[in-house]
This record gives sequence, C-alpha cells and structure tokens, in this order.
Amino acid sequence: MPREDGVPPGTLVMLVLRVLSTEPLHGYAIAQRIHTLSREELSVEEGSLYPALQKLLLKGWVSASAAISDTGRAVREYRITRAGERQLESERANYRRLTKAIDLVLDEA
Amino acid sequence: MSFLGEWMRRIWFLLNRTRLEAVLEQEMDSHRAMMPDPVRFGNRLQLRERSRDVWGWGWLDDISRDVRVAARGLGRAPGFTVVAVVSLALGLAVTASTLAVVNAYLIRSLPYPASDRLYAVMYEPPGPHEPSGMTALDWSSLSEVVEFAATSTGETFNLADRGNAETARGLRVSDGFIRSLGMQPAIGRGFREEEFRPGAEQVAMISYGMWRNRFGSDPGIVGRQVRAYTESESGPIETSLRIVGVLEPVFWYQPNREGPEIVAPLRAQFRTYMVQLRWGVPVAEAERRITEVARRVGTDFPPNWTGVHLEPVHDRYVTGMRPVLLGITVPAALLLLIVCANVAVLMLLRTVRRQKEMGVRVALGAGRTHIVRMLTAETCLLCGAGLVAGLALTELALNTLAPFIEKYFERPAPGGLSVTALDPTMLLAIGGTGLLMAVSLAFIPLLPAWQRRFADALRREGRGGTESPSMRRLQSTLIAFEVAGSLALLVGSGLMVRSIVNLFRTDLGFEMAQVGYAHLVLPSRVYTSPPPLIGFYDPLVERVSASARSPIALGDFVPFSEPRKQPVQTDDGRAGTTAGVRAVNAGYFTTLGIEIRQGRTFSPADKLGAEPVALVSETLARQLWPNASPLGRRLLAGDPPRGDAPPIPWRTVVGVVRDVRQTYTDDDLGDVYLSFSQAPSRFASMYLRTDQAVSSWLPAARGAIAQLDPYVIVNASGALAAEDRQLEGTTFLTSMLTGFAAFTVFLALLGIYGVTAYTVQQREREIAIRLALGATGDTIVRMFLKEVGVVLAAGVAGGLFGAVVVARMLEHQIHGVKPLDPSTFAATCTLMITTGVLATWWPARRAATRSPNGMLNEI
Repeated sequence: MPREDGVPPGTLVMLVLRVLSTEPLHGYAIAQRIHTLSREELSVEEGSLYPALQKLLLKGWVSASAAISDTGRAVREYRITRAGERQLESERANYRRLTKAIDLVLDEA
Repeated sequence: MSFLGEWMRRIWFLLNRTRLEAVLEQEMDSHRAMMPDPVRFGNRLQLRERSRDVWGWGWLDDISRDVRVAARGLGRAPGFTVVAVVSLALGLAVTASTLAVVNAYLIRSLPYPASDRLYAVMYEPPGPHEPSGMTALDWSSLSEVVEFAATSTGETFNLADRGNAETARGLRVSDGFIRSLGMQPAIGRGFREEEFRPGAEQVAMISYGMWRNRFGSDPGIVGRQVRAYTESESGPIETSLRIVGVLEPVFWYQPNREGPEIVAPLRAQFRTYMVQLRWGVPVAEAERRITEVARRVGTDFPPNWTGVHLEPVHDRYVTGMRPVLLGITVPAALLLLIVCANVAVLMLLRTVRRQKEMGVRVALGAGRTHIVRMLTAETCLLCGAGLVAGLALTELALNTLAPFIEKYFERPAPGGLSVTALDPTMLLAIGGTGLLMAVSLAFIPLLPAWQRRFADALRREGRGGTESPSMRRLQSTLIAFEVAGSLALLVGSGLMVRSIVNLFRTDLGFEMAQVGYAHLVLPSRVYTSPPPLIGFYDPLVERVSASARSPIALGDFVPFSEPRKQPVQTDDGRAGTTAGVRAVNAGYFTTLGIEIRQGRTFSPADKLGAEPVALVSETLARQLWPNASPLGRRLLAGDPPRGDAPPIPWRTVVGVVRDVRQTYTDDDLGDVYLSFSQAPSRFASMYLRTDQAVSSWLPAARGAIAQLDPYVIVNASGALAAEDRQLEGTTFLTSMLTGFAAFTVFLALLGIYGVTAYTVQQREREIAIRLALGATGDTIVRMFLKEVGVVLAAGVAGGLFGAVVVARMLEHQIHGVKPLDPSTFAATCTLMITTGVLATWWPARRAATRSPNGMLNEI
C-alpha cells in the first residue's frame, strides 16, 4: 500500500490543538478527524501522534480523563486547556506569518 | 510560571509512573483495536518508549538499568568484588581516620566563642628580660582593636575540710577570662562585678569534676563555705570561700594541664594577658597598637625590643604536633595509593577477561557510550560500597581508638574525634577523596577499549581476551609501585618495632612490680628547716612500716621523672661533671631492689648532724675516680648556694650503687644519692613494696600522716607500675604502623599472585607446547620468575628509596636504633623478595605440573 503524506513537520501540535478546541476526543478520533478534515490529504502517523499527545500533556496544553467512546470502549479523552487555547492562537499566528512570508518569496522572486 | 508547572507535571509523572504507563499501554491497545489496519500502528514497544521519553526521565531509567546490570556482573565475580570493596574500605578508613585526627587538632577551632580571635600576648622575647610595668596597660585605650583582655593566674588552694589536706588546682581570673572561654555555670551563677573589687567577699566557682568527686554532687552546693589556705609570698593565708556556682565541664586550652578546680575572681593586676581582637582587625595592626601603649607605660625595655607579639591560642595548644601529624598523614596517604593501585590491577585483570562478553554486547547493539556507562557504573558501585563501609569502619575505629590517640598526644582533642560529628570539613574531605578515587579508577576498565575494537575480541580464539603490551606495562608498573610502597612502610614499622623492643628490654635498674607510692607535700609555714622535717618523717616511717610490716622508702622526687642535672666536684679538684642529685633513705634501695655494688647503704647513723655521706652510681664513680675506689673520697654535689644560704657540705662516699634509669630514655646514668635524713625536703615520695594491693596500705598510711600533721598534702598515690606511661603511646603508634605495613604487603603479594595466575592461564597453550617440546616444570617456573623478577627488582629498588625517606621521618620517634639500620633494611628486603618469589612460584608451579596433553586438549 503506498504511503500517504504525513503531517508537515512542526504542525502536528497545532493541528491536534485545533481539533481539540472544538470538542474533546480520544487518540484514534483525533487522527481520524485530521484525516477527514484535510480531505484525506494528511494522515497522522501513530508513531508521531502519541509522543505529541504526551508532550501536550507535559506542557499542560491538554488534560486527559477516562471516558467511554461511542462504540462503548473505554478510552482516554483529551481536552484542551486554557493554556492550550493560548498556545493554539500563538502557533496559528506564527504559522500565518511564516506562510505569508514564504508566499511572498515564491510569488515575487 | 508555566516552567514551574511543567516541572511539577514532570515530577507528578515520575511519582505515578507505573499507573500512567499502564494507562498509556491500554490506550494504545484500544487505538489499535479501532484501526482497520492494525499493522500500521508500528512497533508498540518503541512507541511506548518514545512517549515515555517525552517526560524526560529516560536517563533515570538508563542509569538504573546500568546499575542493575553492573550489580549483577559484580555478583558473578564475588572474589574480585569482596577483595576490591574490602581494600577500598580499609584504605578509606585509614585515610579518613588520619584526616579526622588532623582536623580535630589542627583545623577545627577551639570550642570557645570566636576562638580564632583569641591571642596570648607575648612580650618578645619572653623570659627574664620582659619589660616591666605591663600590669598598668590601659586596655580601654585599645578598645577599637581589642574587644576585651583577660588575665589569669594560677593559685594552689589547699582545702582542709576533713582528713588530709588536698590541693586543688585554682585559678584567679579577671572578668574578661570567663567571657573569653565562654565558661557558663551549670549550677548557680557566675561572678558579679563587685566581687572583683578588693575587699569584697571571697567567692569561688568549682569545677564540675570537683563537685562530683569531692562534694558528692551535693545539690545544696551553692552557698557552702569552704575553708582553704593558700601559699603566698608573705606566708600562708587562710580564707573561707563561699561557693556561688558550679562550672560546666569545659575544654582546657593549655596542653599537658587540666582545667582549674576552683575559680575565683582576680583582684590584683597581672601581666599575663589573653585578648580577643575585634572582628576584622588584622593581627599586625593590633600588635602595633598594643606595642605603642606598652611603650608609654612600661619601663626597662630590653635593647632592640621588637614589641608585643600576639600568638594565637590555638597554635599554643598544638605546638609540636604538626610534624607528628604530618608523619602520620604520609603513611596513610601511601596506604590509600597502594590500595587504589591494587584495585586497579584487579580491575585490569577483570576487564581483559571480559573482552569476549563486551564483544557480544557490542554485536547486540550496545553503543560505545552505553558500554562506557556500564563500566563506569561498576566502578561507582564498587567505590560507593567501599565509601560506605569505609565510613562505618572509620567511625568504629575512632570511637575505639580515641582514648589511645589522646593519650599519645597527651592532650585531648578539642571537641572530640568523631568523624561524622556534623563537621563539614571532614565530610567534604572524605567525599572528595572518594570521588577522586572513583574518577581515577573509572578510567581503568576503559583503557583496553581504546586499544582495540570490540568486534576483534569475538574473533579471538581461546578463553577470554589477551593483553596488549601497553596494558601489561601498566600492570607491571602498578605492581612495582605496590611493592615499593609496602617495602617503605615495612621498613618504617620494622624500625619502630625494634625501637620498642629495645625500650622494653631496657633494664631500668629497679623493680616496680608490687610497689606503691604516695607523693607528699609538707606545708612551708611549719617546715622551714631540717629538724621539723625530720621530726615528721622519722615517726612517719616508723609507724607506716610497722603497720605495713615492710620497710618504707623515701625519696625527694616524683616517680618516673628525670632529675635536674647539678654540678659535681671532687676532692681532687675534678669539676665540670654533672649528675642527678637526690636524697633517699636507706629503705629506698631495699624497697626498689637496687643493688649496692661496693661499700654500704645508708644507716641510722647517717642522720642530721653526723658526717655528711653520699652514695654514687657506678658510672659516676668511674667518671670521677677512674683508677681508684671511690669509697672514702669526698665530693661536692649541688648548685652553688645563692645569697646568704649556707654552703653545701663536702660529703664522703660510703658506697657505690648500680646504675638506675629514671625513664626508658634516660641516658645519663650518673647519680649521687644523699641521705634523706641529712637533706630532707618538703616534697617527698613514699614507696612501699607489699604483696597486698596498694589500696590496702594506703588508707593506713594516710591516717598516720593525718595524725602527725593534718596539713600535710597527699597528692597522687597508686601503683608505681601504673606511672610507667612512656611506653603506651609509642606502642600504639608502632602497632598502627605495623598494621599498615602488613596490610600493604598482603595487597602487594595478592597483586603479584593474581597477575601471575592470570598470565599463566592466558599462556596455557604456550606452556603446553613448551612442555611437549621437552621443557621441564622447572624451566617453566623459572621463565615466569624471571619475568616477575624484573618487576619485583624495580619495586624493591624504588622501595629502598622510599624507605630511606620514611626512616628519616621517623628519626625522632625511635630509640636505640639508627634510622638507616642496615639489618632492618636487609631483613625487610629479604622478606619482600622471598614472599614475592613465593607468590609467583605457587601459581606457576601448578601450571607446570599438569600434563601437556590435557592442557592442549582443553583449548
């Protein structure tokens, strides 16, 4: 099976936070949501998802709790925190700034 | 703020690890279950590890794993581990104990408040030429440099409550003195300001010991009146002292002297000052200012007077100790180095043996860093165990040996000798030593790593790995160093042992077994001339010898003290000789078993008013009259009289006595004995030989003395043999040094044995081939002996050099043996060489006697 593109480097944290800012989700659901919302352009490697989730927990940008999924399975649900919202805002602003700058170079050079 | 939060979350993770990791695992499992294609999840273990690593505690895991692997590895080689840990512990214990002693005496300050600012004021040069008028020094004008000045003067109080009079060490002190030594009353109070004024009521504080011993811990001690009389220049004064307080036990800052038992306020001015400088005032500045003031009030300055000199009180306490302590530190450091060298050799041997194991680990994916970490963990475990065991040993050793150490130095250590007595200097020093040891030893197992690639080791045939030439050179150097160090220590201890044996064998010339003594002091007011002295001693001797049924000896000196040398002149004009002069009675020679060689001893006829007689020792007789019999000749013994004292009489020699030494190191054997009845003294020691214990006749003697004159003081009494303290301290030092030497020799031999045994094992194939080709067992052994012989020779050569250094250091401690005594050197070298050869011969022999067939088959 051909490998699909992963997530661009440095953006995974931002994407996860954005997804979680809508509603709390568990790990698999987060990966699914990103995949779906990007019209199947981006697939999150599990190998990068879980370390990223741990990093979010470490930095206090998300919190985790036990929950039941819609299929009745016991899962761990992640919820964005206020610090996480602030981090999301700052990363989004940074991302916009960078892309705008790159676009400028690509268009005008 | 978020930084703090992050760290708190990290710690929370650490504390809840097991649970959180289980949660993560479960989460990942359920994630996988939900995936249509579970294979894509990836390596679960790796994923778990990566997730875990985010929290930053990965290094902790690595280290604990390394430590566990290291511990297992050490457990598989119990012989090596035990020897290494025990050697390290012993080496550390020796070093730590020595450091503790040096710290206790030289580094730690005296237990007084601000003791590093306490100085004794010395008028340079001290002695009869000191400037006068110093009692009028106005300290108030020096208040910017001096916080306060303290004066004290000793006074002997003779307490005459009951039975015999007893002397108590007294001290009259100024107000500053109590403050400077921080003397606090345990019961009652200190002195009030008005009590220092002349004419005020006589008060006193007594020491804790005196309260306990003489007053039986009487709870109503405060307010008690004690009758005492003191000797002063104008005659004895009887005073009544009211006790106002009991002092806490206090450390006394003068060596060889115990603290005072009675402390009373000082009312006069004295010129011995102790000052406490103000904080931050440099000593030179203070000296200058005090000298200025002294010049203004003083008179009679010696020419070229350099001024006042301030000597730290601490320095005065430890005079003379520095060279001795240095002398102990060097062997201790040497021992530690030898221990480390030995452990290094053992580690080298072990590392070479493990090369195959290392090769396997590398093949399985262990990186170089990982191997280094593992080997370092091993070394750290060893050193850590050695450190812990060493500290425990040190504590034990110091607690057991403290009384011996203090007795050897003849002064107690300020603050005690415990190693872990919350002394930051000590813990720092020991920790530093341990760390240094660990760091230097840690490099040892890593050395072969830089020599070759690990993968090669797997390809090598035969058991274990082989050594490279440089490793072998390192081993040989370490062994040679061990041999050298142990030889040096062995020579040192050999010299000390010989010196002690000499001392023990010294014939003092008198018998002290079963002899008891009592030291008497007669008060000066009654006993001003010989007749009243005789009037006391004659009936005393009668009564005591009657009740004890033994003759009594009297002598005007204290046991085991060397007499002052006085000039002796003969009737044929020979002068210039000096001899010890003492007065004894007839019973002296019989009681102490001293033989009369010629002539007679003193008789009752040799009493006051009769012709003056004397006895001389053999050596003195030979010196004064080399060619004639001394009997009947006359001599003049003693210092020329001063002022209008009567001239000393010519005495006739009536007998010759065998030589007697007063101490083990008394080399001057010329003695003149005067008849006690003709030259009685207020100070006398009474000796009695009896089968019964000393305590049985002493009370009767005290009773007789008290009956004759209750004011006669009986200081110090007991068994004569117990006064023989000279040998105790030296015996202690010798045993310690011998212990060191024996231990290092054992280590060196162990090293030689280990290396030879290992080499033999490595070269088994070579040996087998040689044997098969016709070599005999002896040839093989000789081959090994030759190889080790070179190392041994180098070690002995270096050791001789070190031994000369050690001998020079011990020069002042040994008696009757020359420092470079050839027989001691020869004996120790022979011992070292013989045992070294034996340690080589034993393993080589075993290999050489096996059949070559068997050996070749095994490989």
